[in-house]
Amino acid sequence: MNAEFPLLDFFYALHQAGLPLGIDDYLALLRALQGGFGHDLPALKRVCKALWVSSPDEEHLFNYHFAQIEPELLRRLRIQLESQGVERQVLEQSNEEIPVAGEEDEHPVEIPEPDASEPPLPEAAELLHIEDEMEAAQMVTAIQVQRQDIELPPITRQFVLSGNYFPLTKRQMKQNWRYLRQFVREGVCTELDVEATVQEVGRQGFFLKPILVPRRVNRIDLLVLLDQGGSMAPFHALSERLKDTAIRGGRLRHARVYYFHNCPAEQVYHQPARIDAENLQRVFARMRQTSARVLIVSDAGAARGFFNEQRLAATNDFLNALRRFAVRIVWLNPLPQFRWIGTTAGALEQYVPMFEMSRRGLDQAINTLRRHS
Amino acid sequence: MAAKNIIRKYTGKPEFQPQPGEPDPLTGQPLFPYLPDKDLVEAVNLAIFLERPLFLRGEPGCGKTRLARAVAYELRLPYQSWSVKSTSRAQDGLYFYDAVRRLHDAQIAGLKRQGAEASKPIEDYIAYGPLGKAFLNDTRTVALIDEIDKADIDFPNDLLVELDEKRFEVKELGGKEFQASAPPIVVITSNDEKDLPDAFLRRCVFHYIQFPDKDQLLKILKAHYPQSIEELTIAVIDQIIARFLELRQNMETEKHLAGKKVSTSELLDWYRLLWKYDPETPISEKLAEQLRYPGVLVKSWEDYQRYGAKKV
Repeated sequence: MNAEFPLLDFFYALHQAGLPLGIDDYLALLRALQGGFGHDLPALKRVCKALWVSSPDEEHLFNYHFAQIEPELLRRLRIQLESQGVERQVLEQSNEEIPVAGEEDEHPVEIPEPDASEPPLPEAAELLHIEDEMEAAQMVTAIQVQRQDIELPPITRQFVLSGNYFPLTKRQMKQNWRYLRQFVREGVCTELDVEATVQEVGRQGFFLKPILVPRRVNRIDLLVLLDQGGSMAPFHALSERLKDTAIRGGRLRHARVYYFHNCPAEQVYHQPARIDAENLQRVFARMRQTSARVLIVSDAGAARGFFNEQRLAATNDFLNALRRFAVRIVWLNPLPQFRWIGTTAGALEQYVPMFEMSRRGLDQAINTLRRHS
Repeated sequence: MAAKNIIRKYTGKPEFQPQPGEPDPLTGQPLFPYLPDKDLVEAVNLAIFLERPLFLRGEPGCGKTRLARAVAYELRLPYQSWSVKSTSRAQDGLYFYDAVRRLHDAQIAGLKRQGAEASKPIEDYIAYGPLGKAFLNDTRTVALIDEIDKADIDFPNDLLVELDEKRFEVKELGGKEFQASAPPIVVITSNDEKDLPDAFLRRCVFHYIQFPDKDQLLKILKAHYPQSIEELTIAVIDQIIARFLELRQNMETEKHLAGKKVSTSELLDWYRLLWKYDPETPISEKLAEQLRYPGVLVKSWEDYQRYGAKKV
């Protein structure tokens, strides 16, 4: 680790984990350190969090990767920061001004080159009483030289879902959902229609009042049906993510989500554990009022790889019933396309547009959903 | 020109707070003290130092909006506030070109046949919004963009250049550019209703305002209602706080992250009611039975039935 750029490896680890960070985020950290923030380790962690973390998911990843930093690195960093912290305290007591970043040459965050003569390895208590930066540097390099092998941190049993594991990142899903829109002008007239106003002025000869039109709103009403349990168990996290981004990031007028198992029978469920049931007819009735678009997420038997006639027949009946109420129906299959051949999914492909869950597949699915009937 | 860019740090200490009831010089409304915790103070100073916007999230009623006013008061800086609506466009915060009025005036001038002398210059029809005024100010201004997630999704994206480079251009003046000579301190609050685009979030310093702990709540109550300390004993105030925290704890266990829990501003209202309204009844009696004045604390029918109708 380069002493001049503290936490650079940590920054790279976060970037690879999927946080949207750029190089000027790291430079902002350096400027903050130069300005006196992050004077001890908890404060440094808070500064990094304030600059880099923008959501609870990212916070989880951040904490995980921070815990992965070798304790030896953290100890060296702590010494480095505390030795600077003492000097800064003296400065702070004299005047409480914050200079604008980049205006003055603050003390850079680096340790000077090690000496040839090495002092003996200090006790832990001695490290806390460091007054001089040079002394601190020498102590740290002494530790560096004498400790040949650094113990690896213990393996932690924590699993974190990072964004790169799935074929689609959360951000890509959000961006795709934004394309699902059909703008229609409805509601209160609040927006000025310049062209119509100018035409009116031309017709009347003088300007009476502006012509207002209603704002455009997204008319799309989306119904998402998610298959849960059984062969879909490995894909639960992916479905949840899809549902999450559709509801929160999609700007749709309505987005409703229901769960079922294998094939929707008379009931669908509000909760993933398949409790809190609702009658399918009631769901249909509500769909009729708003021209709904339906997205079904299920492997349709492709995960197990068999062809099941009963399942095919039941699904077909359901689709026929659905077609009376829905404007568009689209099927998303978490398995890739080459796995559908010879299974129920392959047969179902003839009856309903089916797409795989890659970036391109979701693109095409949304395009199909969006088209006018 | 370094002098005007150097400002003191924000501390939030009691000596810099306004006296309760002191009128705000800008609006005439009474000002109240604002007691931040030290993480929030650190985040504010970080944002001021790095010249990046401060992005605040937290429950409704935790004091996101009032932080900007408190910072402006302590550092004695000018203050601009922009409450974003669902119909807001990014341009409205910077400037507003009143095209309709100009057309109207031109019509009137045409009817009176007065010619060019009567028509006013175009600058008269351009009014600068809160953010625009903050950019144009000579000293660093505290600019608040309140509830940014209420607006359309394109709204934060439209502000990227302005927040990054601290400049904006006015098309109607022929593309004239205004560069901020003193970069404003921008505070952005969000209710977390919608997700905001990553490109926008990247430029900000984040902070999530936590709910204050018991000691902090006591300090807040003392700062807002100092006379109550003389009239009520500490034991009674502790009882009130304990009751409030019990209610909040119940709501937390039952609702987890979803659903609205009682917040600091509701505690302040409830405390004032318990203290001032119906002073003949002693407070211990008011606290002994069911939740008194539940309408101040619980705001939905289910919550009222669960927590308000009988003793918790």
